[in-house]
Amino acid sequence: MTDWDRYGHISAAMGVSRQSPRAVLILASLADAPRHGYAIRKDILDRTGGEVRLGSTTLYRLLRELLDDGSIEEMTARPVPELDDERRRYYRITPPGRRALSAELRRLERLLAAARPSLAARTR
Amino acid sequence: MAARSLLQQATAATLRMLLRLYPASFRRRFADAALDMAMDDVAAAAREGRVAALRAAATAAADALAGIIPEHLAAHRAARHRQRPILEDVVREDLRYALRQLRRAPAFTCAAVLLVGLGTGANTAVFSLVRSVLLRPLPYHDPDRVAMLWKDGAGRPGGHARHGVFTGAHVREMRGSLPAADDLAALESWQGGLAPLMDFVGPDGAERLRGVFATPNFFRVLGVEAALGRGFVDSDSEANPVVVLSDAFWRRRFGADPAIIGRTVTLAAGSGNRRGQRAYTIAGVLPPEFKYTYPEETEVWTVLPWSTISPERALRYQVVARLKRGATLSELSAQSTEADRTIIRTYGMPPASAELALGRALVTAETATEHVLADARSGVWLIAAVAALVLLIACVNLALLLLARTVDRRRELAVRASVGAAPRRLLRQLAVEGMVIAALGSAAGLAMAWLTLPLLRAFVPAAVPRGVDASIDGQVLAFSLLLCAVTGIVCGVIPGLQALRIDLQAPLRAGATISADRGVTRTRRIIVALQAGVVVLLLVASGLLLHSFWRMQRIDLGFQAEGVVTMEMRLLNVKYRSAAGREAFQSEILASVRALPAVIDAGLTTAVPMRGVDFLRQIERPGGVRAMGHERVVDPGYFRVMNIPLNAGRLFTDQDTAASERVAILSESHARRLFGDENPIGQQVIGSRPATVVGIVGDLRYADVTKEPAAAYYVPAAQQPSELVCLVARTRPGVTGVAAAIRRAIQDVDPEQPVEKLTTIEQIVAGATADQRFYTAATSVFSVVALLLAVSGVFSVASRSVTERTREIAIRMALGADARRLARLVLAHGFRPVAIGIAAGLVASFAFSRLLSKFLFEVRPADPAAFGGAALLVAIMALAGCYWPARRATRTDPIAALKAE
Repeated sequence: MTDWDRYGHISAAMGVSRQSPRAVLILASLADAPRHGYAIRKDILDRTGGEVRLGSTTLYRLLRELLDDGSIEEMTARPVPELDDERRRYYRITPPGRRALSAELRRLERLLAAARPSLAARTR
Repeated sequence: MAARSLLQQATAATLRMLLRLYPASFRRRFADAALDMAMDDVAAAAREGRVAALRAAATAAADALAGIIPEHLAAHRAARHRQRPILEDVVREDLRYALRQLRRAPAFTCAAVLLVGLGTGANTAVFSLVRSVLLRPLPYHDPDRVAMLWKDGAGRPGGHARHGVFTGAHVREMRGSLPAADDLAALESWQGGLAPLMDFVGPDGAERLRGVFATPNFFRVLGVEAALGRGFVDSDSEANPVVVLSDAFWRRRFGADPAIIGRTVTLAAGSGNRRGQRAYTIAGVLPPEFKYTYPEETEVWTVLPWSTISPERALRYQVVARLKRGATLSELSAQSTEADRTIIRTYGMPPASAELALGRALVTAETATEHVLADARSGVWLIAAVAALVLLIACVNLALLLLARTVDRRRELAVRASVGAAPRRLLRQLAVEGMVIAALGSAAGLAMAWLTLPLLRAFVPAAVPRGVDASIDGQVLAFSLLLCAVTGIVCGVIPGLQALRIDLQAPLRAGATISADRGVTRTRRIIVALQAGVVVLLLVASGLLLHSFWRMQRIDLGFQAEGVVTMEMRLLNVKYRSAAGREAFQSEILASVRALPAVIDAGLTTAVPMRGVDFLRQIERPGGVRAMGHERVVDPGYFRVMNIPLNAGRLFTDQDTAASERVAILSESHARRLFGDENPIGQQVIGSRPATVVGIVGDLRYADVTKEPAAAYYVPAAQQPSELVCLVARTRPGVTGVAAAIRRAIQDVDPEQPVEKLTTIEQIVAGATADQRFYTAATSVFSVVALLLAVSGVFSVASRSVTERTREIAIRMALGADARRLARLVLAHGFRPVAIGIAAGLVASFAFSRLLSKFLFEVRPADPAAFGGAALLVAIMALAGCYWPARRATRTDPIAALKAE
C-alpha cells in the first residue's frame, strides 16, 4: 500500500472523498466564513476564476453530504443580522470538517510535490 | 417576455418533477432552495438572451437529473449505516455485557437458572406426558371419524369398557342400517372372551397370545395399512386363514424378519369344542405405532368372516364404525338405537334394561379417542395444572430475585445513566440479561425433563394410555421454547419496569443507603402473598388426594391377601373338555403346589380381585326373589388363603364332591337380598343348578377398591369344575423364587398348559389404585417443591427487609427498644403478607377443590384436615423462614450499624 492510498483512505474516512474536489472547495469556502448557499457558489466561482460553477442541485447534494458526515453544520444564529435574508440558511464548517479539509489539502500538496518532477521531465 | 416566462414556467415544472424523484429526506431539506437557485440562474441568464436562458435551463435540468440515482444510493447507504450498529450492539455488546454481569454474580445466576430450570423442567416433562397421552392423534386415519358403539347397560359410557356388547344379530342388522357410517366392522377380542386367546404352537411349547377376530374390513375402517405385507382383504376366508401380526410380536417372536410374509404358523383358537389347531398364513405386520386395545396391545389378528357371524343371543362382538364425513355421533347413536330396537322386536330379545320403555337411546357412539382417553384425561390435566402452578411460583420467585438485584444495581445503573447511557439502552441491557437467564434456565429445564422422563415413564400407571411413550419431540421442544419466551419476558421486563420506577439519582447522592423504595417493598409483599396463596392451593389439593389415598389403603376389602401369589390358567386343551379331566387337573396341581415347602396353603377360584373375569349370574329362590351376584367357582382352600370370614354355617370341604349334594355359599349382602331376615342356611337357591346354601361369608370389594362390595355366590370347584382356573397360594414370608417353583410344579402336571398373569394379590390391589397413587404422588411432589420455593421467597424477602432496615433497627435499639419486641416486629412484618396469602389460598381452594371430587374417595372436597393442614404447614414454614432474619435483627449492634452508614 502506498502513502497515497493511505492518505486517501484517511481523508475518505474523514468525510472528504478524493473524487470530490468540489466538496473540498465548499469546505475551503466555509473555512473562511459561514455562508449561505448562494454565497458559497459565488465564492467558489470567484476562487476558481469562473471555472467551477456548481449546479444548484449539485450544490445542495454536496451540502447534504457534508452535513450528514458532520463536516459542516447549519447555523441557528444569523451572522450579520442587517444583511440577513429570511429564506436563507447559513452553513459553517465544524472542527472535524476543518481537520478533514487540512488533511485533504496536505494530501493534495504531497501529490503535487510528487507529481511535479515527472511533469518537468516530460516538458524538458 | 412572454416566451421567457414560458421557458421559466417549463423549467420550474421540469425541475419540480425531477426533484420529486429525490429521496424524501433530501427533498424535505433542500428541494425548495435548489429550485429557487436554479430559477434565479435561469432568470439571470435570460437577461443575456434566449439561448443563454435555454442553456441555463438545460444545465439545471441535467444537474437535477444526474443527482437522482446517486442521492438514492447515498440515502440507502446512510439508512443501512444507521441500523447496523444497533443490531451489532444487541448481539455482541449487550450479550457480552450480560454474560459478564452474570458471571460476576454467580450465586444470583445459579439461583435464577435453577428457578427457571425447575419451573420449565417440570412443565416440559409434564407436557411430554400430555402430548403423548392426550394430544397425539390415535394411530388411525382421520381418527375423529372412528367411532365405537356401546349398548347401554352392556358397556361404556359411564362404566367400564366391556368388550362383548353386541350379539351377532346386532352386527348383521347394523351393518345395513347406519347411513351415518361409511363402513362398520365387528370384532371379537381377547378382552371379552376365551376364544380369541390364541396359542402359538412353536417348537418350544405353546405361548398364549392376545388375539382378535375382526371382520375383513376392520383395518379399512380404521384406515390403517400394514407396514409389511397386507391387512385383511374381503376374499380372506376360513378356508385359507391368514394372520396379521403386531409389530411387537413380530420383533419378539420372529426377530423382525422381513421375509416372514407368506410363511405359515400354527395357532390354536376358538372355545370349547370348536378350539383346534390350524395353520395360518402370515399376511402382514402392522406398523409399530398401531394400537387398538389398551393397555395391552393385541398380538395377532385373524379374520372373522361375515358369514360366520350368526344371529345368536350371546353378547360377543364389539363394533367400530367410520363416521361418514359430515355425519355426527348423535346421528350414529340414533340410527344404532333404531337397529337395536329392530333386533329386540325381531328376535324377541329382552332389552338390556328397562330404559327401552323410557325411549332413551340404547346405543351410544363415542369417538375412539374419547374411548381411549376419557378416563385418563382429567388426571393428566390435573398434573399439568399443578405443574403450571409450580412454574408460576418459580416465576414470581424469580421476580423477587430480579427485584432484589435491580435494587442492588441501582448504583451501577445510575452511574451508567449519568455518563450518558439512554434509558432505552439500559432497559435493553436488562432485557438481554433476562433473556440470557431464561435461555440458560430453559436449557437446564430441558435437561431436567430429559433426565426425569424415564422416571415418569416408570411410574405412569397402565390406566394412563400411551403414557409410557412420553418423550421429547418437536412439539415438546416448541413448548419448551414457548416457556423460555414466557420466562424471558418475566426476567426481562420486570427489572426494566422496576428500573424505570426507581430513582436513579438517589444512590449517587451523599449518605444514600441501600434500601428499596416503597414501590419495591409493596411489589415484594404482593409476591409473597401470591406465593403463599398458590402454595396453599397446591397443598390443599395434594392434602385431599393424600387423605383420599390413605383412606383407600385402609379400606377393609373383606379379604387379607398379604403374601398370596396368584396365576391364571385357561384349560382350553382338548383333554379338558370333560369335567372329569378338569377336576383331575385341578386336584393334581393343588396337591403338588401345596407340597412345595415355600407354600403354606393354596386354593382355586375363577375370580381374582380387581382383575379379569368375574361372572355375573342371576340367582333365584324357588319362591321368586331374584338377585344378581357374582358367581365364583372355588375350592375349600380359597377361603382360608384369602382370609375370608365365615359368618354362619360352614365353608366347603373335601366332602363336597361331584357325587354329593349340590351346595353353595352366599355372601352376606346376597343372603340378605334373597332371604331378608330369614336364616338362609339349608335353604334352596337356583343358580346354574339348584343347590343348598351351607354357609354365609363376608362381602368382598372385588371389582375396585373404591366400589361398594358386591354380592357373591360361591359353588365348589369339585361340583362344577371351570375351564378358568386361578390359583391362589399363601407363601412363607421371605422366601424367594416361589412363583417360579409353583410354575414348575404346574408344568410338571401338564407341560402344555400355559400359565399366565403370575403375580401377587398385593400387586394387583396396588395396581388397582395405581392411577390414584400416580396423581397423588405427582401432585405431592410438585406441592413440596412449590412449598420450598415459596419458603425460600419468604425468607429472602424477610432477610432483605432486615438488611434494608438496619439503620431503623439500630436507632430503635439505641433508643432502648426491647430485642424481643423487635424480633416480633420483624416476624409480624414478614408474616403479614403470608397470612393474607393463606387466607386467599383457602378461599381459592374452597372454590376449586370441587374439581377434584372425582379423584376423592370417602373425602369431601371441603375436607377440614386438608385445608387446616395446608394452612398450618404454610404458616409454620413461613414463620421459620422469618425466624432467622428476626434473630439477626435482634443481634444488630447499633453502634457498628450506624457507624457503617
